[in-house]
Amino acid sequence: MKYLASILLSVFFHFSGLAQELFPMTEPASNMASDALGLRLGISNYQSNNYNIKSQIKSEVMYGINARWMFHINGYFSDFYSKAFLFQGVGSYFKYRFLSMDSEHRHTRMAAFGRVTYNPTKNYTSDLNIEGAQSGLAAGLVITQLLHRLALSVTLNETKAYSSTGIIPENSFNYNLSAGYLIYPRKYTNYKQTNCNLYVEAMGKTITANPENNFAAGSSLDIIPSIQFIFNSQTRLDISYKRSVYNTIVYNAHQSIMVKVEHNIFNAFRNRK
Amino acid sequence: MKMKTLKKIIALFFILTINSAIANAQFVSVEIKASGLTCSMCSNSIDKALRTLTFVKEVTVNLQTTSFTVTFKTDAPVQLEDMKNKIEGAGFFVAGMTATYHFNNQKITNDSHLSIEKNDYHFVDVSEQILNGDVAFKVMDKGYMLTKEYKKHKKKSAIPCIKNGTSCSPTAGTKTYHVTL
Repeated sequence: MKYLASILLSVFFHFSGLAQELFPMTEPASNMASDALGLRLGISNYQSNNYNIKSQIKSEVMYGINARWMFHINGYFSDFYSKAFLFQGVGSYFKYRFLSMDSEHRHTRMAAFGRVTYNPTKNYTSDLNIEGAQSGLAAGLVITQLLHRLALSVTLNETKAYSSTGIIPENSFNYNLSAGYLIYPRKYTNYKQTNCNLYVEAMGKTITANPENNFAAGSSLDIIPSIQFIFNSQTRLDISYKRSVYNTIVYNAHQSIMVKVEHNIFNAFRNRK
Repeated sequence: MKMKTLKKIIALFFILTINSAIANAQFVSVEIKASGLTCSMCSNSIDKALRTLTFVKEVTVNLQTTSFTVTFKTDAPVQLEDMKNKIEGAGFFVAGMTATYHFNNQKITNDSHLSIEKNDYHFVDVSEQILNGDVAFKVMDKGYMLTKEYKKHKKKSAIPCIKNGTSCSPTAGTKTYHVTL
């Protein structure tokens, strides 16, 4: 284990690349450019106990209002909690960047964010997931630190779910730790170069017990390594593998594969020439 | 003899016209170093944002140093502040801005003002000299360099408008840039 850690560290510091904060599983504290439009489609798959492949699709439209504000509009579809593939609601995410301390090759940024989702489909699950299982609200903070070659981000949020099978709200505390670095190109020369980035993210969740409904208390911790390609400095492809390292939540997928495609259009509306 | 003189006059006329065309006072280019970014997608967003400005002709980038060299159209006045705003709009900051301007025998002294393309340029920390040809000057205002660097420069300066960050334009309503060579 010690040996593995030292190999990983030396590989990490060997690459003369720079840090990357375009995390596949979480949003960084930095925002999109003002008037940039992003289109994103993500699919997550896992094999159920009876060997069926279960899928969840998340579609996103993202927009940068100005340097401080941005928002997403989401649509969810899945057969994670049902036999058939169902519409699992819509949502909105917004983020406000309130702190930027930038200098050469490093920055510290902080942002506050909120999420509102509405899911009309009834799902019978003890998992708490307002992005595809229940309707709900979330509010949190994200702090991102870029330190030469290392980009670190911590996301904390409190989530309140309104089960579509009842109206009793349920809470969870979520915490994510993300790290990313650029492995290719070693030296940037033009926008056409394909970028390759590696990420490792840890996502934790603690659900509070509520004896009045069918939610049970539980915790989970997932580790998600990802590889990311950026084409033409405009299109992003993320391939991630999620593995549960600790889980007391029933019906949670213990391992899954996620693929996400994102395309960015700069100067989409207001600044068009 | 007469023909020779005429030829000389014509030649002189051409030389003068060409010279005056070259000597037209104008911005040659502006080099902007952006801070707080590393990825080429981030640089691309700055590049695309700068190109939306009506006076910008071309943007070239050094992705390794995140430096942008901007050249301009001849008919539109260059606004340094608009370029800074575009970079901030893309979510980043200006770590340094150096403008190269083609001067035409203009005299400056320390703390003197020059009107360039409808804006006021206040020269600080300079010796008395005549500016001729392509001369580069650095913008010393807040938001045009790293915050740390700006604070240091502000502390050192004895000029009141730099110390308290106010405009000191001799013509009311015009934008003042504090610059140095």
